[in-house]
This record gives sequence, structure tokens and C-alpha cells, in this order.
Amino acid sequence: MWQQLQEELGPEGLSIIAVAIDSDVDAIREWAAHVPNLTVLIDRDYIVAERYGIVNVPASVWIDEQGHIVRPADTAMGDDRFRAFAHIDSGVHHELLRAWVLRGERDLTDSQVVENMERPTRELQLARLHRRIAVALHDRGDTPGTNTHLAAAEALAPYDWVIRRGSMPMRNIDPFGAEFFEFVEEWQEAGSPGFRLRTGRED
Amino acid sequence: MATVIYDTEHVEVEADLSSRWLMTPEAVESLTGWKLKPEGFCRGDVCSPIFNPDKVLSYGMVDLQEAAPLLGLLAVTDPSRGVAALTASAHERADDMASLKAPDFTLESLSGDPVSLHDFNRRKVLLLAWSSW
Repeated sequence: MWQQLQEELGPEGLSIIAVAIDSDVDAIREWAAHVPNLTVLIDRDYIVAERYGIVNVPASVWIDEQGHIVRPADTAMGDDRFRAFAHIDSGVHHELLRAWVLRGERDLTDSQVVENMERPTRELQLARLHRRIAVALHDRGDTPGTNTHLAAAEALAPYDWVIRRGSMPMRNIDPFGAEFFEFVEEWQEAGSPGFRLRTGRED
Repeated sequence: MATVIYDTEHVEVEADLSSRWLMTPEAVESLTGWKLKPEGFCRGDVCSPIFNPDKVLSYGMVDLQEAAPLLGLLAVTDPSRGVAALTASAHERADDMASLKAPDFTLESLSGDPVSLHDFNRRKVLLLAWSSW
């Protein structure tokens, strides 16, 4: 659907920048092949995640022509493939996007944008730093070092999906496997912390 | 080898890593822009006094982890493995976010070319964060 939205709204002034919060270049390439008219960038160190308060994927942030954030990070599904699991109607976000691009209509005021941002705690910032060190050590083939820093990151930010789930491939854990579902349970027991906006949520 | 990861930069620095992460004041300045002066760490007209010099300084060298909070930064150091990482403190980052000014970034595209947010000036941008995991 992102491909379609770029085709539809590109001539109206929209550019979709797809930032892969990921270090698996082959997997990124495979996904990018399906969206040839999107700009696809690689964010191995989770720089964009940190600067825009992204704690889970897929997520979107809207930025206007003057470089102002007009919608903060929020879950944004391309389609309804995960609807039964995520309980999100993807079309709600797409319609809001059309209203903004075509008619300049915003659904949030500036103060609502600020209220709904995931502003970091010290612990989350430290977790992001540990994760960056882990990526550098992983590149060097230092498995014990990688695991030490990933463990530190996970202890500091136990409910951040980008930290928890995003680190599974580096630890050779299937991000769709048993450990992932254990994490989901743990996260739900903690009250499902995450993006505040919950656009299109059905539960 | 001593590497400091600061945003997307991986910077090789001169450091004494025998027990803590100690860098020369010059190395700290070239990394962060903060210069060590008698009144503290200074950048432009702003100075941040050092209230705990025993922790921050050691024989003329700067402990990166202890100095970072004075510079509005946060550091994690691993002297035994020669890697440290540095970023904005939670407070600084939260203030930046609340300004609603979209922070610029430069990342590599799949073809290896650097692409920045500012390349999309005067367009509406949907920043879409996704992953294969």
C-alpha cells in the first residue's frame, strides 16, 4: 500500500522515506524491491528511532514542508495483513494521510503532537547506547561482547520493541519464534506500553 | 583501538583505557565541541562548571562517562573492548523533540549514497520506520 500511496500522493507533494531500523541489508533489499518508488534508507544504529521516539515498527512520523513534525511516531501498517494480531485498521491512518496531503487537514494540534511523543527516559537513552555498542562488537565478531551489551540494553528498556525484538536477529533468535511470543506476553502484562496515539486501534 | 560512536559517526580517538575511558581534552573538544578551560567545559559563550573534578579529570585527562552529563550528553563506555557510545541526554533529546523541529539525519541508501532529510525540503514527508524483523 505504501507504494500505491506514494504513486497517488507523490504528485501532490508527498515523499515517503522508508527507514529500515535494521542491519540485514539482504532483507532490506528484498523489501525495497516491492516499493521501487520509495526512498529506502538503512539505520543500523537506530539514529532515527532515537531522534523521533520510535519504539516499535512499522511506525510513521509526518513532517511538513517547513520541517515541522505535525504527527508524532505512531503505528502505521501498510495493509491489514497483521490486523488479527495487532487489532489495527490500517486504512484509518491512510485516510488521515490523504486529508493532510490533499487538503492540508491535520488531525492533531501542535500541543497534541508534543503530548503524544515518546520522550525518552535516561534508561532508554542508555539502552540505545548499549545497543549501538553491541552492533559495533557484532561487526567485529565479538559474540560475548555483543551479548553483554544487548543484555544491558534489554534490562534498561524491557518493553521497547525496537530494542527487544530488534535485537533478536543479532542473538540468532527467531523474531517470530517462541521467545518473541514470550516477550509479547510480558509486554501485555506490563500494560502494552508504546505509542500513545493508537490510530485505527480496534480494541 | 578506541572507537566512539557518536550519532552515525564512528570516530577513532586517542584514549587511555587501562581502567576508565580517559581522553585528552583536545580529543573531547574535537568530538563534542566542548573545550576544557579553567572555568569548566565551554562552547561559545556557555560554560559548564566541573563540580566533581576528582571524578571528571584524572592527571589532565577527561573521563568521558563522567564528563558527558556536564555537556548535555550521555555516554556508555566499555574500556576493555575499546568501544564507547555517546548521545544526547534524555533531557536534551526530550527538549529537541518538544520543539517539533524535525531533526535532520543522513543515512545510506541501498546503493550506498548518503541521503538526508533536508534533501526533501519543501515536500511533505512521511517517515516510515520499518524492519525485516
